Amino acid sequence: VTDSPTTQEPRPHGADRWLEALLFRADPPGEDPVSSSAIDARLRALGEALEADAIALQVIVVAATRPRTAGGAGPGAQVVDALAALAAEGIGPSLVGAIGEIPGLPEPVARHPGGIDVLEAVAEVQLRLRRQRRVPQIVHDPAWTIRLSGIDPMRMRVEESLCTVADTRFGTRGTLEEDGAGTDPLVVADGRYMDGLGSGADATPTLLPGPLWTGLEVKPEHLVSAPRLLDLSSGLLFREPGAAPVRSVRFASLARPGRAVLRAEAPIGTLGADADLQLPDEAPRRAADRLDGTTVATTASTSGWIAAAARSEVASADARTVVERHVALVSGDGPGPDERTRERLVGLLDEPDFPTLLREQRAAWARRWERATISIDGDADVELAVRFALFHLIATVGDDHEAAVGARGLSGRAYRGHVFWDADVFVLPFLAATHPPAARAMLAYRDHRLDAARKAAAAAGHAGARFPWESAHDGTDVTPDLATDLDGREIEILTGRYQEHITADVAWAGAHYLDWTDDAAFARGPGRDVLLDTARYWHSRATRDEHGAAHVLEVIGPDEYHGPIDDNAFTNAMVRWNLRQAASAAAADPRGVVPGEAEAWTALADDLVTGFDPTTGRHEQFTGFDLLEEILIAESAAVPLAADVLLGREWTAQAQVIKQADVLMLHHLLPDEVPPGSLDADLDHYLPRTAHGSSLSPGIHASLLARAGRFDEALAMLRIAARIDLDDLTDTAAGGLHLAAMGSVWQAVAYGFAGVRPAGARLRIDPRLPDTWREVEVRMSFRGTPLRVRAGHERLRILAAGDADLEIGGSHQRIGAGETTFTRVHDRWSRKAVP
Amino acid sequence: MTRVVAALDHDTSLEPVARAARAIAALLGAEVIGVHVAEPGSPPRAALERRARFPVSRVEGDTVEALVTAIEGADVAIAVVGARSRPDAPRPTGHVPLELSERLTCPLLVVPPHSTLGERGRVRRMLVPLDGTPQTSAAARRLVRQVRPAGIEVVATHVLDDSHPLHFADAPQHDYDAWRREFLARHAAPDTELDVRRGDTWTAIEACAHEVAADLIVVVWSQRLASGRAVVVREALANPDLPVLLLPAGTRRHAGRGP
Repeated sequence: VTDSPTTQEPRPHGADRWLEALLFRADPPGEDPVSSSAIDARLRALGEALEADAIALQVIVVAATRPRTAGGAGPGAQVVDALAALAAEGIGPSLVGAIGEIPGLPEPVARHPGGIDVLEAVAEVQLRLRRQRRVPQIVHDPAWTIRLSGIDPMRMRVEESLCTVADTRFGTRGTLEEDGAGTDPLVVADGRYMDGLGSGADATPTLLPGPLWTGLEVKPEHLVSAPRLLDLSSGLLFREPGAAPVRSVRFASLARPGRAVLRAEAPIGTLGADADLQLPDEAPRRAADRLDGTTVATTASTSGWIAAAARSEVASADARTVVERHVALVSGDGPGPDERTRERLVGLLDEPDFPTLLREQRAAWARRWERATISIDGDADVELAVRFALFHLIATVGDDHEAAVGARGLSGRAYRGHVFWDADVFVLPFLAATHPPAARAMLAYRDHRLDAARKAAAAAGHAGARFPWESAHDGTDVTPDLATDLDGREIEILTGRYQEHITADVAWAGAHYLDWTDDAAFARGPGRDVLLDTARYWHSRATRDEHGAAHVLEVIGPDEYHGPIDDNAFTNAMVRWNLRQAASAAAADPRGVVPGEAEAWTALADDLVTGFDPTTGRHEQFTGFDLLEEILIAESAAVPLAADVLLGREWTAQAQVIKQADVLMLHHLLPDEVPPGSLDADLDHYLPRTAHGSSLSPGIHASLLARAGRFDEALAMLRIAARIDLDDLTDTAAGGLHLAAMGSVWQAVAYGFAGVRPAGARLRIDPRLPDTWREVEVRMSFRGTPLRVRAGHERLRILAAGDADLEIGGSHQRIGAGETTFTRVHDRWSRKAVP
Repeated sequence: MTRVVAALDHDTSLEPVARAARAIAALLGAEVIGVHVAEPGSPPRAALERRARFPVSRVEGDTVEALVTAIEGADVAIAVVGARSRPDAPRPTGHVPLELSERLTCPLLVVPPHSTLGERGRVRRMLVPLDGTPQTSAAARRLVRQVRPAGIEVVATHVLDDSHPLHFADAPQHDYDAWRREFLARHAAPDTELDVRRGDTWTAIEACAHEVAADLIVVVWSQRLASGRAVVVREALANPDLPVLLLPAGTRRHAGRGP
C-alpha cells in the first residue's frame, strides 16, 4: 500500500487550539452589561498582562463597520485589512480567533460568540497554552499541508527525507524523535564536506554529518511510527500521537538560519529529553562537552566543521511532560570552532524564546511565499505537490556568501552533496525569479571556483575554464571514475571526462540570472569573468574540419545513454550561445580581452555544426544518432523507465533510446536559438524515443509539451515530476530529495504553462493552459519589480508593485504599479482599457 | 518439538525426498517423519523406513486428501514432497505437489528427482528472490531469523523485469548504491547479500542460484495458482532444477509456529 500524501480536510482541536491573534468586536449587537469604558479598561489590562508575560498574542479590536463586499456578506473593511496584515506575517485565518459577531469571516477562523468576558477567557486559554509550553495544535490548511500517516515501514526513510526541515544553511532530516532501528537521522550544513574512504564514489568527498539534535526518549521504545504534518506555509513539522502518545513540533528558523527548536509533549512516563546532542559515528572527528551548562558538540573533517549548542528544559504538569529544546548551529572552514565561536554559539540560545521564534518563522516564510507562491485553480493535487517542491527549494538554498546546492540538497546522504548542472540549470531559475540573492549565492559558488576551473582547463591542454561535472568543496572534479553496476559488475563512469556541457551550463545560469535581475555588478564582475573564460575554453576545445566547419568532438550530452559522441546538438548549441554571449560582452566592455579574441569566438560560433536538418525540420541528437537501431521505447514500454538498467548499457548505447531531454533540452534552455517550428518536429521525433530514465526528464518535457499545446501529455509529465519524491517514484527518495526535479516542476508551471519567461529586458508572458485548469497564478520578481501573473483562458491579470516591461502577444507592454488586465480575443491578447 | 514431514512415494523419488527432509530437519532441529499413502503394490512400512531412515506412517485414501490430513494435523514446520516420480516423467511436476502447494498452510519443499540436497552434508546456502512487495519481504525476514542461527547463508536476489522495473536511475555512480542500500533496508534481513539480475524472472533466479551455489530456492507466494497469478511459482514448479521451498505469505501459519 502506497502511503502517499494527499489533500485532506483539516481537523479542529477544540479547547487546546493554538491561536496567534484574536479579533474582538468591541460593540457587539444586543444587550451588553459592560460599559464601553469598562471594556476599554479591561482591554488595557489584558494587553498589559500579555506584555508582562511576553506573550506573542495579538488582540485586534474591530468595529462593526459595513461589509466591504457589495452584497453585504463579507467582513468589514477593518477586518479585511486586519486579516491581510496578519497573513503578511504568516498568520492565516486558521490561527485567528474571533470574539463577537463578525460577519463573513473565512471558515478556519475560530468563532466565539460573546463579549469581553469571552475574550478574556479565550486569552486565558492561550496564556495557559504558552505558559505550559504546549505544542501548538492548529487547524492545518489542506492547500499547504503534507500529511503523512507514518504507517508504512517501507516509507520510513522516505518520509524522513520529505520531512526535512532546513533553514537554507543547515538541513535536518525528519527522523522521528526516538530515531530507532531503520531510521537515518542526519544533520548537514551547506558546503561542508569530509573526505571519502574506499573506492569508486566512496572515495569522493561527501557531506559532513553534524551533531544530531532531534533525539528524545520515547516510550514504548520499539515503535518508530507516527502521523506527521509538514506545514509548507511556515516550515513547521508536526508530529501527532500515533503508536506513541507523543505530540511535537520542530522547525529550523528561516528568519535566523542556524537556530532550531523542538517542542514535544506526552503523558508523564512516556517522554524524556535524552542527550541534548548526539554525535554521528561517521564524522572523522567529533567531540562534545559542556560550556556554561550547555551541551556543545562538534564534528569536523580536514576541510570544515559543524558545531551545535543545545539546551533542553523538561517540565511536568497536568499529567503531561513537556520538553523544549533550543539549538544553535554554526559551521566553518578549518579545524574547528575557536573558543569565542563556541561561546557565541551558546549565547545564541539565550533568546529569543519559542513563541518569538515561531512568530519570526511564520513571518519569514510568508515573505518568501509572497514572492514565490504558485496557485492552480482547478488542480488542488498538483498545486500542493508543486508547493511541496518550492518549499524545499526555498529551504535549501542560502542567500549569503555562496551556496553549494547538491543534487539532494540538505535532505540526505545520496549523491554525497555533489553539485551538478542540476543546480545551475534546474534549481537556479526558480531562485533567480523569486529570491535573487539565493541565485546569486549559487553563482558565487561557481565563480569562487573559477580558478579551479581554469586549472582543469589547463590540465587538459586548453585555455579558459572548464567546470567539473561533479563538484564539492574545492571545485575540482569529484566525479567517480568507477561504479558498481546493480548486477555487481564494475563499470566505468565517463561523465566526469566527457559531460562538458556543464561549462556552458554554468555560463547560462549567470546569464539567466541576469535576465531576471539585471544585476549590473554581477554582469560587470564575476558573471563576465565566467562568460569570457568559458568561451575561451570552447574556442580552445572545438576543432575544425577540412571544410572549415567547427565541431565539438567526444562529449556526452544530457542523454547519458550515449557517449562519448561527436557534435551533440545540445552541447554545440550551448557552446555557440556561450561564444556569442561572450563576444557580445567583450564588445560592450573589452577589459582584458585580447584583440581579435571576440571576433574569433563569433566566427567559431558561426561555423559550429548544429545538427539541424532543414529537410526534416529537426535536429539530429549527435552525429550518427539516426543510424542507430530505431526503437520507440515510449510506445513499447511503460515509461519512465531506467532503460539502461533493464535492458543493459550496451543495448541502449546502440539504439535510439534516450535517457532524458537532450535535443529538447536545447529547446527548453535556448528557445530563441532554435529554428522556428522545430519544437514540434523535435518533440514528434524524440518523445517516442525517450525513456525518461532520469528524474530530470519529466518536468522539462511537461514544460515543452505545454508550449506545444499537448496538454494531456504535459499534465501527465508534470504529475510525475511533481510527485517523484512524494510517491518515491525513484525508489531512492530515502537518500534525499530530487532537487533538480523540483526545480523542473517550477519551470514547467512558470515557463511551460504560465508562459512567463524573460526575453531580454522584457518579461514575455504567453500562457498555455489545459482545459482542466481555470487559472494559474505565478509570483515572481522581474528586474526588481514584484509581480503576480494570473493567467486564465480568456483573461490575464498582472499585479505589479512597480513598473515592468512585458511582451504579451508579441508586443511590448509597459505596465505600472497596480493591476493590468488583458483579455484574449480571437487568440490575441488585448490590454483592457483602464476606466 | 516441531516436525518435518516428508510425503513419500515408493519409487525412485523416495531417496531424494527423504534425504532433503533429513537435511531440513537437522537445520531446524526438528523431528522428521514420513507419510506414505498406501496403494496396491505399496511396500510394507518397515521397508519404507529402511529407505527413508526415519519413521514412516502409512495412511489410506485419496493421496492429496490423506497427505493434507496427515500434515495439517501435526505441528509441522515444513512439508517435503517430490516434484515428480522420475526424472524422465512426462509431466513436469505432478498433481500432488501442485495441489499440496495450494492447500497446505505450512511451507512446502518441492524436491526434484535428481536433487542432491543433503547429499553433501548440511544445507549451507539459500537463495531468496525478493520481488519488492511487503508480503514477500516479511515472510523472507521471518525465515532468515529462523535459519540464521543454524549458520545458513542467505542470499537475496531481485530481478528487474518489465513488471518490476527501475523507473529512474540518474547517475549510476550514486543512484545504484542508494537504490541497493534502500532495497536491502526495506526488504532484506540485516547483513543479507543482494544479487540483482535482469531479464526473465525465473531464468534469472535459477542462474543466480547456480552461481551462488544455493542448496535451495525460497519462493514466497500467495498460494493461488490460478491463471495470471504466481507466474514465478508456476515456472518454479514447471521443471525445478533445485529444491524449491514454497513459503506462504500473509497471515497463514508459517514455519515453526503453532496453529
